[in-house]
Amino acid sequence: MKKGNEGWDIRCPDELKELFPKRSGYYYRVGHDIAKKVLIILSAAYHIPAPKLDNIPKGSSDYAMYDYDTQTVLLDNRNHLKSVFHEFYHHLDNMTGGEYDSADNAGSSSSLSWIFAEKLWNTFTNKEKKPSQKRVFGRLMILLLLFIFISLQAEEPKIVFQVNPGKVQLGDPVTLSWDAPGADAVFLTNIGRVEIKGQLEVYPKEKLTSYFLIVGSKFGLKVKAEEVKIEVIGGRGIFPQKEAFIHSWTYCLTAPSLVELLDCCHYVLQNAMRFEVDERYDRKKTTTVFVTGSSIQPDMVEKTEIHIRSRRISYWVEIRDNKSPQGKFTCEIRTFVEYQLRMENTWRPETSDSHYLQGAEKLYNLLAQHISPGR
Amino acid sequence: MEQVKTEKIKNARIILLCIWLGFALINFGIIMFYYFKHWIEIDNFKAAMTQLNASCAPYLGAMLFFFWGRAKKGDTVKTGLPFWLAIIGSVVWNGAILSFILLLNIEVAIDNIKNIGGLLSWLVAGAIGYYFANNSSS
Repeated sequence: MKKGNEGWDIRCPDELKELFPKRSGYYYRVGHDIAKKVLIILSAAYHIPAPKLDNIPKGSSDYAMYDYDTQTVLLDNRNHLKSVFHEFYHHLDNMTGGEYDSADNAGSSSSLSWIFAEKLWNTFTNKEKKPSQKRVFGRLMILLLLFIFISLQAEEPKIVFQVNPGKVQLGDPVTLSWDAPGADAVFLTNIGRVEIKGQLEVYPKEKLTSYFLIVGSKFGLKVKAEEVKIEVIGGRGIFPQKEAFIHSWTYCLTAPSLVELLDCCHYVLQNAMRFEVDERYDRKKTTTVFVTGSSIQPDMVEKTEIHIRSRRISYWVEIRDNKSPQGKFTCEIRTFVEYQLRMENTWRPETSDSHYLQGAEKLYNLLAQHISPGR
Repeated sequence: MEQVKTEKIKNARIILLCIWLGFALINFGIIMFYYFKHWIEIDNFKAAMTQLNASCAPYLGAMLFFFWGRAKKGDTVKTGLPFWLAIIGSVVWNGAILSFILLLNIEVAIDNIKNIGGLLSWLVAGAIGYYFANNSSS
């Protein structure tokens, strides 16, 4: 036997609600016909036999009663619906062997029978939220609090990124030093994936060389970039300008994290395809840009093209941090293809679109092939 | 004896003209072959034709001018060493141009032809002048 009202299962079938289209704000007075339907619906909901229904004896001081022996609900001609619920409670308790503890008192307003009637009424009028809804809401609240707590705990990495000296002659070394405490992964443009704290000697070649430290914080929520500029006296300019890249294609790449994808792109362009690569971070567009010098690709000249000596390609790759939970990143690949005729030294822009697409597809396939956590 | 010598001189001039004209036609022909085979573009075709023309036009012009306008019966010039020097000079000059066109990329060839014109013009200018510009060198 349940004590008190703990663990009560309050059921209010839709069928019951449909009997009363307007269910809020006032009490329903019901006659015997409706009361009978209500009792049948409720009994079916609890899988118990429906009680009998009869008129309350004349001269009785009560408006409604329940006879435990004959399992009969005795009602006045017109009763409050809540009274019907009240009497049904007794019948339910009777049918379930006292599971609803109806012997607590004689039916005062604070009795369990009235509490049952009240609860059923609230459910009937939608005042009481369903337990399942309550649970879902509670869980969501807990998750939200947990998320806020974790976010506060995962403090934003304070990045230190320095260069010494800031102005050098071509061929002289520059020391880069960085520290990103609390970072999850760190990517240094033109270098690749690096430790969270470190120091590196580099020999910049470009006239104005920029290094960006891209830091992925916990859960990949934060990506920050710092920039140092080095003026290289006598440095060269080997990378094509963006205007040269007329053709572009957009792909979707899936990677465990942005830093992982950047490292993969750096590896493919510099190590696998042997390009000279300039890497930068665009703060406004929140994209990381890889620009390559030109490189001759023997596989871009078909055997039938005897008038072509060689073709070369350069890439402009922009990787956008979509902040997608599935780890999907937008990758825009721009290509610039040039050809050299058999008896010429001059490089001329390729006119056939197919070679531009061929170059983009080749890079995309290599990127997709190389993106794996174990590389 | 004098008659025989005159015939030889006439042949020497014709031989020189044939060398120059033959090389010029071959060189121009190769450039046109490159262009029509799409081995070079129009800009390089024009540049190569212009440079080739600048390299041989003064000499070919002088030769043709001599035959059409100034050649007279009984003109005499000395044969022997000067003649052979003229032949060798002409073959070296034109052979160099031909080898540039055949072996080098068109831009490099044009540049080299330009340079050789400045460096070796003395090799052919004297001989051509001797045989075709001076008709009283007997």
